[in-house]
Amino acid sequence: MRVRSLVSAGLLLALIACGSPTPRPAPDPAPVTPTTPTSEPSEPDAREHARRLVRRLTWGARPGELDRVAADPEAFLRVQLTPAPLPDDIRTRFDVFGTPVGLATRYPRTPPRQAAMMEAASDTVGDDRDLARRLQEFAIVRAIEGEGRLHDLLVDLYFNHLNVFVGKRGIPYFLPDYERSVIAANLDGTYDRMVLGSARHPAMLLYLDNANSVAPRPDARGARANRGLNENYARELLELHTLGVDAGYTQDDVEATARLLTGWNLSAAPREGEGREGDRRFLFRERQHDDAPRVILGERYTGGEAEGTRLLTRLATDPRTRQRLASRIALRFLGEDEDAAARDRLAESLGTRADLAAMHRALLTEVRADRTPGFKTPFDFVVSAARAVGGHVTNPRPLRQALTRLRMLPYQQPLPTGYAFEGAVWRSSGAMVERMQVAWSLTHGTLGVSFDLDLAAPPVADQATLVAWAEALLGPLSHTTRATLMELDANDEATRRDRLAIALASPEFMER
Amino acid sequence: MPTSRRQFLRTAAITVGSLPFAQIGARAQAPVRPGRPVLVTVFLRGAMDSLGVVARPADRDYQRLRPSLGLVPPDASAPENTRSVLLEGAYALHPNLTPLLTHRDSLTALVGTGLPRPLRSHFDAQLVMERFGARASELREDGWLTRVAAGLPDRSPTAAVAIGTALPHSLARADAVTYTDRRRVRGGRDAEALFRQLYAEGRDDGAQRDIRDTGRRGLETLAHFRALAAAADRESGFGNDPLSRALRTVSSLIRGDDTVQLVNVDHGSWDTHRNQRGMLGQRTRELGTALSAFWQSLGRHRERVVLATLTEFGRTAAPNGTAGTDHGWGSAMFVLGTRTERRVLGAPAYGASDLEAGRDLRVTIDYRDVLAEIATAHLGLPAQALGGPRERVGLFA
Repeated sequence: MRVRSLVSAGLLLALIACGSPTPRPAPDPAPVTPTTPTSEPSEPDAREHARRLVRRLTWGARPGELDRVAADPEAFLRVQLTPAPLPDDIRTRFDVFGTPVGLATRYPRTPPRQAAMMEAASDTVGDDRDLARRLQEFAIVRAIEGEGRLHDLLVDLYFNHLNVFVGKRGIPYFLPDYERSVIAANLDGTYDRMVLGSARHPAMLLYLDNANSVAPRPDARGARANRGLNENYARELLELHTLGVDAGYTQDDVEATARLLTGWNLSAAPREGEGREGDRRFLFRERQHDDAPRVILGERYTGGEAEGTRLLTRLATDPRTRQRLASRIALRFLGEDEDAAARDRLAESLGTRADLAAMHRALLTEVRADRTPGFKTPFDFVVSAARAVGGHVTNPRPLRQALTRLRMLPYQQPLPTGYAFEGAVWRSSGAMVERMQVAWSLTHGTLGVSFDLDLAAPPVADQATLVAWAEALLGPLSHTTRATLMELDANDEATRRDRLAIALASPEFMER
Repeated sequence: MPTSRRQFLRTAAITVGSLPFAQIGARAQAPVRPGRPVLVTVFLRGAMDSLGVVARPADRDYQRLRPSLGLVPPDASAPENTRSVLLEGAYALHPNLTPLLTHRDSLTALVGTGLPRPLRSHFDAQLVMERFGARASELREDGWLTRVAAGLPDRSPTAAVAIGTALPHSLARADAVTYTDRRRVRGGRDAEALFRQLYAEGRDDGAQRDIRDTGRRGLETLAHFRALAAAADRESGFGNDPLSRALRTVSSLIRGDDTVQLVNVDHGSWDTHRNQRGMLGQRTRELGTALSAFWQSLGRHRERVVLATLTEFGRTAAPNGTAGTDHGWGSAMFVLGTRTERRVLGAPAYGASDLEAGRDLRVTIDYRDVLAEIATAHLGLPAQALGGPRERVGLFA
């Protein structure tokens, strides 16, 4: 893999022509100095600016994308907040579309036993755990092969903020609708609509058990006083979805919230019928509701469904909630330096109504400034690597396994906190080695991703071209990365795969 | 709460250097001398329902609290595998913890343990507990195991290990390594050599220095631990679940490298809000099997090891409306160690008026007293390392 010295252009071209690998002689003790690049002069500032925008706002550049963005960054920014259409073929590859009833029909809870179902079943039909896996694979492939706009990353961010866990019983059927109608549909609205949508959605009602929280009997005392009440949703609503743990609410507030939200339930699934597990929707059950008046966070509430709505709106638009949302956005998209001024500007852009669209527009301004890069989450890393090679997923299973090892499989977080976006949480020595291995698998064809090697890692005429290729992919190179890559300048297929792996495993590629 | 990356860099000791791994391997062949003490923490994530795992099942008040989801007394007329198993005196264990009784002489159950004040949020309570704190505000930035590691004499860079791919809060800001049981770098020796070169310490690394250092540490540790795991005997008795696999790995590291002194393993989820019986049965089965097999596998190394379980809080004394329990306060800790004196420490009361806010088992043993005693009596740390002397619990002879 390591060539002794710069090979003459003629010999190199001859080698490329006949495709034979260069021999592997001993390494040259004297480092080789690169010559001046002979390619046309680049525009480093426009390109680096484009890299900054793409790195922060998207899942990562696919080949050619940085040039397009550098040519017209405003056009790029203009579309970031609108959803991109899905690639056509994705719908044929993933049977995860349709209503909850449709999904429950195609992925019944128990494996089909009846002969009739067996006959009608194609060999892709499975149960709800299969659906969960498909949803996860779809999320991975969508990120790799789609346009990867900021809109998609915002859906991901808010989904984690109002997290539901796909592994909990019954939830897979409702998850796509939750992501679509609660998260994505409310990105350009106000936050209270998102919280309300979440509170009333079967996915959340099942996940945080509010569907099963009923008002205790009024005559119950002592240990039995709370029998029937499940505080899970109320607590996470206050702690995670809105005000935050330091806001100063008390256990009484949590309990009172739980009581006010009793009766926020689901219609019962029909006893029979195909897809019955998906045939549920929000239903306010008067008989389970505790309608006693109470004080929550210093305000009086009477009973009834509308009072619950009023509380949720109040919580979602509270200044503390707005501050937390702004912090989350800043952490995710503005790098690792804590820029309190930027965060405050984002919080202010929300206004008293918690207008998410306004904050997202403000983000597009904040993102232009020069900042210390953040560290990619595992999902960021895997997806951006597959995008960087222009990958097309032929088998999603190895990708799913890699993300499982890296502990960031989509929808797989059982805790209501959702996945963390702070880089420091993910930057452990074991995870770094795992990422290196993902880069190796991807580039050597064992990650279930196909790509054009000539496009991703073209043959290079000399070390200068090699460095230019690496800089186009990674930005400015550290000394060690450059030195490692420069020794991989042979053009046999193995070496080209190796240098692509090293580029994608480099510290430079870990930053966002 | 999480610090910025810059602050993290300033405090973590970065220099790893090259370790004489060959020598460490050779040392592992020699007969075990007294050697360095080891603490293994198993954090039971999600809040373990101690009342369903270790309690006094014949107690009248207990039976009033738990007409369902309670331990069946050992002498009740019920199928054997549903009856709790006697630990000592009035205390009994969930039947799935029966394997632990093989090592009864090394086992202590501390009951009524937890945070000094109720804190019923998972995230919060875990964070507080892992930072050796008392409340959610005024938390230190470093984990409690980080402080312990800093107080260990003559510690090596591999002294603190977290099984998993992410550092837990207890090792925040620690120069610790994460490790899972993956043995091989995919791509083989060529790949590993290239990665070592890519992540070698170099000049002019600029902004990516910390990423580079973390990666290099990972590669070095992987090679080292891989060699240990290969050299260790394949122990039987473990299960096939993540906890068993983790503790089997931990056992091989401890037996092969006496510079490994602090290891954290996570186990979960214990968050049994709904249909508790099944989930708790599963968790206790995993815990009983893994802990017992681990202790068995240590062999002559047992003397230098203490294992302690932690959990962020217990659960409500009474079941909720969904055949589960909600967040509570007091819980239990299990400690395995050859010098443990008593089988049970603590005696929480189960009467209605003894419960916190009429709903939760009270904490009568501050978790910090337990951890501090292990740190001083077993690991040899001065009391100052964890903020000064604390109340004696009486774990060790």
